[in-house]
Amino acid sequence: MNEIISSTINYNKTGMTNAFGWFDISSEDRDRVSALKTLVEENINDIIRDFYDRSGGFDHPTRHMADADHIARIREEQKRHFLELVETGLSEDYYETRRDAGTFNERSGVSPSFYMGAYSYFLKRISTLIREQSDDKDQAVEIIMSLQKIASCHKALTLEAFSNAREEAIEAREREMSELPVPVLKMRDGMLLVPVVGTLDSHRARLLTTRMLDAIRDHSARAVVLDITGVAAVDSAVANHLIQTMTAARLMGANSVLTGITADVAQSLVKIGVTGQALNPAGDLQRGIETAEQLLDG
Amino acid sequence: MKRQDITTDGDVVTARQVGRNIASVMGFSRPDQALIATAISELARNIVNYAGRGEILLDIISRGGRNGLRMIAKDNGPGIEDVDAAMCDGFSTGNSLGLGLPGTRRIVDEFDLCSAAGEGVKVTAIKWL
Repeated sequence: MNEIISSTINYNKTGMTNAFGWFDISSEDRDRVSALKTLVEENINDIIRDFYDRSGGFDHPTRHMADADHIARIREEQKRHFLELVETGLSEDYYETRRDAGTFNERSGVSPSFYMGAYSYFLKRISTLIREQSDDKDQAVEIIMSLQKIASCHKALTLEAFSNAREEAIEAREREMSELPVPVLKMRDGMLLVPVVGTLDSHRARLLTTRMLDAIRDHSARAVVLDITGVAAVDSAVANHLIQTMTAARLMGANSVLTGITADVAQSLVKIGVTGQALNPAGDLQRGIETAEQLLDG
Repeated sequence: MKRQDITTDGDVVTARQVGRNIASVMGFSRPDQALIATAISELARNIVNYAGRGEILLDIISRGGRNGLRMIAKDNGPGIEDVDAAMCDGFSTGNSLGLGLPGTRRIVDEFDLCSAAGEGVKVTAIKWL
């Protein structure tokens, strides 16, 4: 799964240069932020602890994270994430790791608001420290401005990676759904039952055709009951797939019967103009099996 | 107004489900919901098959005290060379049943197709409640 994500998100150096351009980040900005390394390292543990210990009337995300290990992992990752901001000064290495942060957030259920909240708390604390420790007020303001710019870039890239990771996760789930098995069951000698469930997109329709024809050959089937009770919607493309599959089956010497057309599907099919004949419908599954038996015996 | 980008089979399914939900909230009967879902499915499927990418816009409109669901399918694909032929049952330049467009026209109450070769396709279909 992680491989899928890292292989699809291909960041390159141009992307990094672009990002610097959008956020107007100069090399002085990067130097100023890198100089904060010691300050952040010395205070990061306190800041993260305080963030979690804060009291207030808000619904703290940790309440939804029952597992202490889970929270510990998130705290560890937050520390790493904030340190990376000052350690690398947004180098190319950083470009690699920030997608890990986005992926981490998606995986461990860290919402963008929680992430932004923690980030804003971190920036506030660090900015206060910079102001306190600096003698030159103007210089402190410059440092804080550089920090803000780089932090914005850091956040933007992480959130982008977060949404990419989420999109990937959704796509992967869709792929898994579309690979729902198409079972072909042997009812008795020469008769097969093929229950179709879910959405028949072109990929699954092809799979259905192959599986059914293979099974007809393997079992020397002469009758097939194709049940589409579990198919939510049938449009002309799906009807076309079914007709082609049934025609192919006939060419292999097996007659097929279609069952499980619901009232809604029937009305839609009639309206679009798909006629019943090509689909050889037989009502419900029981009638379909009876019809198939007649085909076998007759 | 709901907008759905259409590039894959998965998007076709999403658009169809969103359309069915809107139709159900608007108070369309179950068979009508199925018809609307089928119409959206046909329009979206055409986008995937012929244009590669495009979008479906779903909108609730009112005219003369009646509410209706307007479905717009837009793409910038190769367009339709012979619009009259495309509206005939059984005509297809792909390997399909050729029922998508004429079927959709039978399902909805108002149907308008704008296209020319090389200029993409815009289909507007309305189903009144």
